[in-house]
Amino acid sequence: MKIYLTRTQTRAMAFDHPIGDPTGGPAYGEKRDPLSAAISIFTMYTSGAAIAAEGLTLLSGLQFVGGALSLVGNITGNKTLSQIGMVAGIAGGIGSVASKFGLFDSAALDSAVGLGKSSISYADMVGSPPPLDWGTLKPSGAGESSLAKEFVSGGGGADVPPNQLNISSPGSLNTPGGGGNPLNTPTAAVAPPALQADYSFSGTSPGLKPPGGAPVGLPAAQPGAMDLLKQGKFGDAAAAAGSGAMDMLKNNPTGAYVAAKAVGGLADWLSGKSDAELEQLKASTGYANAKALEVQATVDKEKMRRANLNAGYGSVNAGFKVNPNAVVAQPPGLVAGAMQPRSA
Amino acid sequence: MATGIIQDKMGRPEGDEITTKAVSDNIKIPPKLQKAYDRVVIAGMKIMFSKESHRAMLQEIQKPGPLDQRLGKGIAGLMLLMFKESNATMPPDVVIPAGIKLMMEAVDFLRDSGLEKPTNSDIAGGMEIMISTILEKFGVAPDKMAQMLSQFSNENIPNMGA
Repeated sequence: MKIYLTRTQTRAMAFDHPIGDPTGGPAYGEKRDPLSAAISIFTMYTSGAAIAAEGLTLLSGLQFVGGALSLVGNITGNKTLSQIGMVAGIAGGIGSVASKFGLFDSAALDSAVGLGKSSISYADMVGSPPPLDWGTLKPSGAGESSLAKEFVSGGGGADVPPNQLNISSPGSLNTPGGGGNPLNTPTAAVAPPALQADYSFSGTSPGLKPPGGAPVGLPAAQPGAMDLLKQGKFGDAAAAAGSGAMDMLKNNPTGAYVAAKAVGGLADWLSGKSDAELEQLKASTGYANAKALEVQATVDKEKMRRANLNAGYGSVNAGFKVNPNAVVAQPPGLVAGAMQPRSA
Repeated sequence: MATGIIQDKMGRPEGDEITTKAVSDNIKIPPKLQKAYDRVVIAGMKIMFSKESHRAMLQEIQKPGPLDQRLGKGIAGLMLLMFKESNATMPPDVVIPAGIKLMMEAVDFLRDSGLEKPTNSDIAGGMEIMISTILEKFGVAPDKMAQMLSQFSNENIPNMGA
């Protein structure tokens, strides 16, 4: 059985064997390394009905990034990512495979992320020690500690004031009807306003209440910053991003630069990638043309070489003709041109 | 010096650096989830770059330890935090894709700011850690996942020497 090397392996072999994989590969007209294979498979399946299947789960989300994981995995030689990427693109995706293997239990979702639990801590989510100290994620009008601090402290943070958001406390997080708990009172510390607008990701927020108010579908009724960006209303988009974002632009030039760069790229991407895709297509087309011309020139060169070889180099065809009798008019040189006859 | 025909025809390896664009172009979100995905990414970027939390992110990212661990665990924590905060309105399907996207944004930030120089290996390791952490919290044990991948690969994918 032929074993096709990864690009990483091919690159490594290139140190010893300048021609790369000595037994196959692109030099032999074969483009069947795992990266190419995975991308081909991924492209084939993601364009079809598999990706539009209903009942998608968290694991099936891997299906959407199968190509990206294959790319990263094969470039770096990370076997796990390569495998995930390949499996994700095959036969309905990794979600169905996982279901077949009984790995994903939807009931586990609630218990795992605390949706059905009265207590959840950051340590429950990502283990210990926590990777990020969200200690400075401070709600408006709150003290030094906050939602994030509470997550970091795992619910038992003694330094968290009692009137602040306590994720670990039973029923303290956006509990419908929980008007008496700290989060649902106007004076309580809540999440930063800039973040609040994005709480409802699917357009509904059954449990989200404004301080002291009735439940409303907060973000679904209002166009978000990115919606406005897509519509070209940049001023409104900036306003929709919230005062926190505007302050960040003023006070944090580096962050603002990065955010603006990212959001700008994202805006192109969100708008259906029309312009970006067009540019990419143009670039790809130009590249393909250049490669085609290169191949054509190489073929012509090889034909000429063979013709010369067969002719025994009796008369070499260099691919161009020279007229030995040609007279090329040359302009005078700098000195000669500058020399002027003296006037009498 | 001119290269030979064989060398001319050799496919060149991928570029030296994994870019956000290359990764983003390979994230294929179905239309029905696109809006939710966009919102998750924007929310994550707000958390990463907003005034309230940007400084915390900077402090954390400069702490000692393997960069892939910091990236993977950090983004996983961010995604799980947002999932929790969304009160389950965030479709689980977009958690990992958005996490991948946000990780690449974080990598871009590190590169642009000069705080760190994430290598391709850091990025790959970070993605692996992030995915395994999230899946684990959603009830999929990493060892079972690895077993499933290995078994499924052996059954369905020819030996590619990966």
